[in-house]
Amino acid sequence: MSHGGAEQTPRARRAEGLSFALFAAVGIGGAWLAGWGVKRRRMAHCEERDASELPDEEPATVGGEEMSSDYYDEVAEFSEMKIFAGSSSPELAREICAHLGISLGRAFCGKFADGEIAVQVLDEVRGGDVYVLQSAPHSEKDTDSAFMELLLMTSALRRSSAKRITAVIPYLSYARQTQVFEAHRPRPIAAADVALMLSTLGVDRVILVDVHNPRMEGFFPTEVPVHNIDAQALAVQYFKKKHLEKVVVVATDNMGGERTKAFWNRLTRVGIDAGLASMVSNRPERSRREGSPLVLTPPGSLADHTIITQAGEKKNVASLGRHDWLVGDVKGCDCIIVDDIIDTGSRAFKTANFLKKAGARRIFMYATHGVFSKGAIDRINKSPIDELIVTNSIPLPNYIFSEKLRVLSIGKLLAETIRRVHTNSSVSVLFQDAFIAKQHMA
Amino acid sequence: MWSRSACRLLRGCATHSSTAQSSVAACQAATDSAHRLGVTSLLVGASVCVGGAAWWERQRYRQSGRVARCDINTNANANANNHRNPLWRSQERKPIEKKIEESLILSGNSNVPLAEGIANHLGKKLGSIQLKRFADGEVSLQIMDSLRGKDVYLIQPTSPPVNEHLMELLLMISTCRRSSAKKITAVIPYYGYARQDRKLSSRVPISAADVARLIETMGVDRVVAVDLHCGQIQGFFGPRVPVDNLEAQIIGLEYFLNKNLQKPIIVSPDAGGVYRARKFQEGLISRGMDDVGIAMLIKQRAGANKIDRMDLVGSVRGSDVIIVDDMIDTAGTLCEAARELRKHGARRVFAFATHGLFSGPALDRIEASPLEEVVVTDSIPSNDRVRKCTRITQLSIAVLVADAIRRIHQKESLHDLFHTRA
Repeated sequence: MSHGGAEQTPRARRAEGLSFALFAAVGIGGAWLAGWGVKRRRMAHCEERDASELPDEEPATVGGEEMSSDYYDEVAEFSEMKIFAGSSSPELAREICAHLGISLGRAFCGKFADGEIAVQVLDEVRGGDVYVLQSAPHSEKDTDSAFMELLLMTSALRRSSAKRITAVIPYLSYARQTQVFEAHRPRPIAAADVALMLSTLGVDRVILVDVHNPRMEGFFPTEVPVHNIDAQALAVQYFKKKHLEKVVVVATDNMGGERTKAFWNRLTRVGIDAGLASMVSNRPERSRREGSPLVLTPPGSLADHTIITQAGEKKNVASLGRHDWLVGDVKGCDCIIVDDIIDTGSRAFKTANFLKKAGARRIFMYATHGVFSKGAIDRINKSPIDELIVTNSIPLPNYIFSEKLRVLSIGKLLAETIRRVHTNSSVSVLFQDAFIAKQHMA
Repeated sequence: MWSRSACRLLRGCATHSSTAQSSVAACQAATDSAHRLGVTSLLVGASVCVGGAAWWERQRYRQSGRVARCDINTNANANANNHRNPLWRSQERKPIEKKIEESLILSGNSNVPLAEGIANHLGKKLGSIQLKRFADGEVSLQIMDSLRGKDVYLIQPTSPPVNEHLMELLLMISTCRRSSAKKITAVIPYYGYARQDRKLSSRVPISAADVARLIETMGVDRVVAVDLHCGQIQGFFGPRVPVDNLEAQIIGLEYFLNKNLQKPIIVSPDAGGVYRARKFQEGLISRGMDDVGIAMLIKQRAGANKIDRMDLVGSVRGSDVIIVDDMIDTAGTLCEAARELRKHGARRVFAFATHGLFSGPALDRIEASPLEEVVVTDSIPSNDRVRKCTRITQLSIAVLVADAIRRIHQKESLHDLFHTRA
């Protein structure tokens, strides 16, 4: 994936050419020396093997050079399959390819001088089963360009007669905008629009990872099947090895209950006796996300609601103002805060503080997608969270540094999904804990 | 026989003129006297009646205001002249006559000053919209006005940063569609990705077509664009979405008419743009500038690692030259063309382009080139750097776009707007 302006001044080009020539000269010299060494070593190795194990067989020769059969890999199984990566997550793409034993398809994604995206697929794809991997870049780094890149890549593949195009999107941006809160002040259902855009430009199937709202699958038309990969099982395996005491799973707000319960179920299934707690708030749902255009609450709209606080007294919600409460007892427990996205980190910060005040022993947090917007990592560092577990669905930039951060890789999971989609075998088996446990044992 | 014809004339005059009663009375008297006194008095009566008829005619013309004559006051004269221009209603900021309450003009973030100008020319205010970004860079959008049953005009050129502005436009369209707007017209003065309109090599996208499909899928009813890079983009939209491709030359022509050009010659910077130059030449000629010539440059690649060569077809010696193109991006070709023209003895070199992107090294190149003045429109908003560059003049196309919206809203023909001939 090479990036850079499509236009260069002739002088720069000449300078580049000169430096390239220099590098090439040095490189050729180095490669010759290195090659010589490798050849010698390899020959020695072959001689050893020839002497001990395979005395009768002739060593295979390729281009006059001796080669052991160990170096030959059967590629026929996935030769019909091509994986291309956009510019956002090349590392993850390489990891997936390594698991599948194929090489990454060659494609150029660059930008013109005026910011338009230039895409060219360099490998032949006619009649092939093609996978395009593109995630959102980390925070504020041109989310829309990344998405546009995916769209144009899809269209380029579609127009060059690929048989089937599967978009592999570890983190789909706009997936959080799924509702219109006030009909008289309309807001986009951007998640549905994004789904429509993908299917318009010719995506045949979509692989998502822990999408914010599982209803997202319904936004795609019936001819575009969606696989929503559940990455929670990875975290469950991780926590299983942690030897936690008195585990409590905590949801960060009213909306996170569904996800937290699924996580709790998984923990119980692998034999961890866990409890469940939740943060509850009386703030309007639309203001959940920072940067929402408007926070309007008509006065008195919450006046009828009465809640029972931890101390057992009845209180009117409106009289409390906007507040959050922790429901459940966490004293002396190891808490796992579960969420799908960690964006600005302010809710995680708040929840962790609540837990600490309520007497929690250790606080872990798991979120599948680490978006890490401005100030997020500082908040995490300051918070009482002991360990934050995310996956590599969004590549972490170099400037994000925290001792508390653990990154699990979804590469193997995605590779297995792609393999199963390619060979038309069941994908749902993948998400069963037994399967993942077996993978971890292996 | 004479008296009979005179009577017919007089009767006709009397039935037609209701206002000029005194002259009618005089004519009646004349007929009576003609019957009584004979031919001598008839002659007198005829002369009076002819005078009356001429006076009456003048009255009628003055009321209709159609003829500009020296005896009509100067204000009326100016108005009458203006109304020959197809844009006169928008220039005078006349409000939309029909159904003004049923239209809503919304602007995205990409060019608010232009949108305000357009709304101003239509005598309306921009609709209220909140368009921001979430912390992770996603578009956050909320429309604060009611849209139900309204004709919505979304003004959003997809200028750099292209992808962000395009995404805003797409989400704005779908939001309007989902909240029951009656008709959605996307006004896209600058259409991003327009130059990727064909496959130049294998396995590349046709991005202009892809963008068109995205816009169409989001539920737009009509698209208004200005000087599309190629007219075929109109065909990238399906037949259910009509595309109006306005021409901004009409704005540029007015500007160059007052420039005091000597022996003007219109130059196309490449062979593909000759039709644009020809149109500009026609426009200047029809606006009363005679002796306008045309020339073109042909760019050739001399070979690998060699500087491109430019050949001039036509002569520009001692004349003022206007290079006409549709957009200026990095200005490489333009500045090279200016140098080439200067070498061939051009007196002053101007440039006119609808869209001024000025990306990368464009401004430095323009400063270093022999270009006298670069005229662009405000289809792309100018930044501080562009404003500081003294050689760049920006004309507003607000009046043109406003008039197009006015005509679309009132279901009138847009034909006049495409006439570069006055």
